[in-house]
Formats: sequence, structure tokens, C-alpha cells
Amino acid sequence: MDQISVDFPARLGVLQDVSLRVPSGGFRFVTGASGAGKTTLLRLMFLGIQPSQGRLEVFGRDTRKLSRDQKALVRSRLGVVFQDFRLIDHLSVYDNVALPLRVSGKARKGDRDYVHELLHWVGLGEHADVRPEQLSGGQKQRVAIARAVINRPNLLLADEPTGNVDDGIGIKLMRLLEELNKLGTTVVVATHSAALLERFDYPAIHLEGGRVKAAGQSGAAP
Amino acid sequence: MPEAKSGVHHAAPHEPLLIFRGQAVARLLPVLLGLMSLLAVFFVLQSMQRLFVIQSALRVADGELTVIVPTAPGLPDTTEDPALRRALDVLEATVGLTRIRTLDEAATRRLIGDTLKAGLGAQVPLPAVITLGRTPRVEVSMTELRRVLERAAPGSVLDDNAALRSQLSAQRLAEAGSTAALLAVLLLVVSATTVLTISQSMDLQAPVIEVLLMSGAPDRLIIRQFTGFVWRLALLGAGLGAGTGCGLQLLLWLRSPASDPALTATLLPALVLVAVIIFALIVLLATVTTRWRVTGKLRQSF
Ligand SMILES: Nc1ncnc2c1ncn2[C@@H]1O[C@H](COP(=O)(O)OP(=O)(O)OP(=O)(O)O)[C@@H](O)[C@H]1O
Ligand SMILES: [Mg+2]
Repeated sequence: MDQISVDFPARLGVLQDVSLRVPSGGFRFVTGASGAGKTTLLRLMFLGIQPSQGRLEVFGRDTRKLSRDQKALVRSRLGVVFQDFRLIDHLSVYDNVALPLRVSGKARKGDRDYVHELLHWVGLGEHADVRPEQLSGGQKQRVAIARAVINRPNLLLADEPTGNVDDGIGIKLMRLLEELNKLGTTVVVATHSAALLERFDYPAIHLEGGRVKAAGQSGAAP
Repeated sequence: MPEAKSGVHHAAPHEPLLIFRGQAVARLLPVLLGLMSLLAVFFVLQSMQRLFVIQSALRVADGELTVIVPTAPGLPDTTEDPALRRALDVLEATVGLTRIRTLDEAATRRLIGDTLKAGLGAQVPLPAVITLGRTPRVEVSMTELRRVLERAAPGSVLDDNAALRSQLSAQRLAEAGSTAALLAVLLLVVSATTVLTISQSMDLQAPVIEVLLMSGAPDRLIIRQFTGFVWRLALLGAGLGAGTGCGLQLLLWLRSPASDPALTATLLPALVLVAVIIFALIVLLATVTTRWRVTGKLRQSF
């Protein structure tokens, strides 16, 4: 992305002149104090909000030139783990995880097995029929991750995926994301956990008051 | 993780996804819409029925005429009275009058005996009363009729229910006004409540819409999921409500002893019409509001 700015009607300059590039297959942290604009940056990347200025490319395509349907297709190649999970309370864990498959038109024959396989992978094989409200914070986090990767995304955006769990589980979750990254998924993780940054040595995009202060080692643009 | 195939076309699922957030609201919606349509249907029909009763009374009053003819004293039978004979001849010769009938003595006494009792005696016998009807389409001038009657039977009185008619007309106007006002207020309240509640419950859906959006759902699928859901709720709620309102009204009619066949003939179609209008209004507004709110939420995204 190039010289991107984001303004909200209620607040201007949430992101200012942000230019960065995440190479395909890379792993990046987005760091910064609370309110620095991490979530806003991720929302921008999954085309959840419009930049008020600048140029945004996802998968090498200029987003201004995409129709709404094409944007939906781009989004179907993304996975997002929301800071607040956004699980749907009245659906079972299974249905929450399977939702992207159903709505993106990618539903196939072996889906049932695949969803269960994925739930086992995040360690929730026994909880498929449970409602999210009966899960712990860390379990919800893992459901959110399973839902984010069910469509086999090329780019995974995770907002504070370790924010609600203790360090031990946080590290397990990070290992999960690393595993995905090794399989070829580009991963962007927003965090303010110093412990995480110390333990995992990946380039960080550091935000301060809506500006990029240090863009890790690569410094190039997605 | 294996690479996702790009260029997959969006084959939207047909089955509802049950993504509507706030199941309590979802259960409450049809109840609320149903209650509104029930009350609306019932009150409008009640008001329309009162209007109809006044209208039919007016029609009767409009068609009924009474002629009172003074009779000569000393005759054994008033029907033999020459003034009465002349009056009857005049009436029969007038186009636009039907059912001309002279009341017998008992009926006459019942009709006007009380009013005249004091003045009656050997010199002033009971007058004769002729009742007659007006045919609806022919205009008969009352002043002209009075003039010829006066010539044929001096002292005769033609009563065309003028006082009753003007009273009924005033009542009809008032009732029509209140029916229209009631209808307007009800439609307004029903519309406003429907739009507001649907808007509120759609605001609850914002997080779900964002999840769907980032899952790669195309706009039309998101819109269709929500409108489809609300459409079904509204059909169920408003349908049951309007149906119950109709049923209640029908029950009232069936139980009332004086069920005029004309009443059923006119009000039954009105019943169906009112129920259908209110039902359609609620379903339409609920669906349109849902579509409008979801589209609004989608527009805020990129
Ligand atoms: N929709 C919005 N309208 C107005 N201002 C907003 C909106 N969303 C975010 N902001 C503002 O933008 C700034 C950055 O918010 P953002 O959520 O990106 O921060 P963050 O870095 O993710 O913080 P945290 O670590 O607490 O999650 C904040 O000051 C916030 O108040
Ligand atoms: Mg945040």
C-alpha cells in the first residue's frame, strides 16, 4: 500500500501516509500502542473500510479498479481473526467455522470432514456442537482462527490473536499461525505483546499515532 | 494449506443461514408485527361498520315518505274519504313513487295516535296515513308534490324525513371523518413501528455483516439472507395478525342478531381488503427497510 490515509467522519487522520508492503508468503507483526491504528490498518487490508487517500493493492490488484463482486472474491482469499472474535452466538462452533465456506460459494463435497479436521487441528475436535458462549477466551480465539483459515486464505490477518489468553496459550496460537505460514499463507499479526515480539523474530510494522515509524526489515509494499 | 482456487464463481447457497443476530428479537418481531396488524384490522373494521350502519339507515330514510291526509268527520270508513282517494290518485300518477299503501286504523293509531290524542274527537277524526317509497333513480320534486297534494287534499302533510336525514348525514360525515383519521393514524403508526423495529434489529446485525463480508460473501447474498429472513418473519407475523383480526370481526358479526345480508355483502369484501392492505404494508415495509439498512451497512465498507 502506498501513502494511504484513513479518515473517519468522527475522527480524521487515524492513519496518515502509510506506505508498506507485505511480500507474499511473509510473516509480519503490526505493533503500536492502543489506539495507534493497528485494527484500522487490518480493516483496510481486508477491504473493510475505504482509504480516503492513496493506493491500496491486494494480491497485486489495485482495489480502486475492482467491482464489488471482485472485492468479494478478493476477500474470499483472505482470512481475518477479529480482535473481538465476532463469533455468531446462536450458531454452533461447527457452523461458525463452516460459515465462510457457505457464503463464499466455495462449498464442496468433503467440507464436513474438512471442518472437523480443522477443528481437531486447533484442538477443538470435541467442541463442534457447542455454542461459542460455552467456550473459554482461548477456545473462542481458536474457533476464530479456524474460521479465518477454512477458505484456505492466501493472506491471514489476525488482530491481537493472543490478547485474551495467557502467554502459554498465546505461544501455542502463534505456533499455529507459523504452521500456516510455512504452508504458504502470508500472515499479518497485530499485537502489543512485548513477550510475543521477543520470542518470535519476525519483522514488525510499528505504528505511532497513525504513522509507520519502523517497517521491519523488508520495507517494501502488498 | 493448499492454495485456494481463484475465480470461483459465486454460487450462493439457497438454504437460509440463520445468521440473524439477536434471536430474542427474531422471535419478538413476528409477535409485534402480528399484534399491530391485528389491532389495525380490527379497529378499522369496527369504524367501517359504524359508517355502514349509518349509511344504510340513511338509505332507508331517503326512500321513505309519509303523507298524512285529514279525513272528513262522520264517515264510517276513512278509506272511503274522497280527499284520501284524490290524494292516492295523485300519488299513483306520479312517476318515481312505489309501495303506496294506506295504513289501517291500528297502525295509524300506533304511528300518530299518541301525538294527536288530545286534539281528536267527534269533529276531528283520525287522519289517514299513506306510506310510500321513492324509487332510487327518479328524482321527484318534493315542493311540486306538496303543491299537487294540497290541491287534491287540502291540509295534507308530506313528510320526507328531512330532519332525520340531515341528522344522519351529519353523523355520516363525522363517522367518515373519524374512520379516515383512524385509518391514517393506524397506517402511520404501523409503518413507523415496522420501520423503527426493523431498523433497530438490523443495526444489531452490523458485526455479522462484517463477518460475512470478510468471508467473501457477495453483496446480493448478504442482502438476500437478511431480507429473506425478515420476509419470512413478517409473512408469519402480519399474516397471523391480520387473520386473527378478521376472525375476531367475523365472530362479532355472526353473533350480532341483526345481521343484515347487505352488511355482509358490503363489509365482507371490505374486511378482506383492509386485512390484505395492512398485511401487505407490513410485509413490504419490513422487507424494504431490511434491504435499505443492509445496503447502507455494505456501502460503509470498501
Ligand atoms: N469507526 C471509527 N470512527 C472514528 N474513530 C475511529 C473509528 N475506528 C477507530 N477509530 C479511532 O482510530 C484510532 C485507531 O484505532 P484502532 O482501533 O485502529 O487502534 P488499535 O491500534 O487497534 O488499538 P488497540 O490496541 O486498542 O486495539 C483510535 O483513536 C480510534 O478511536
Ligand atoms: Mg485494535
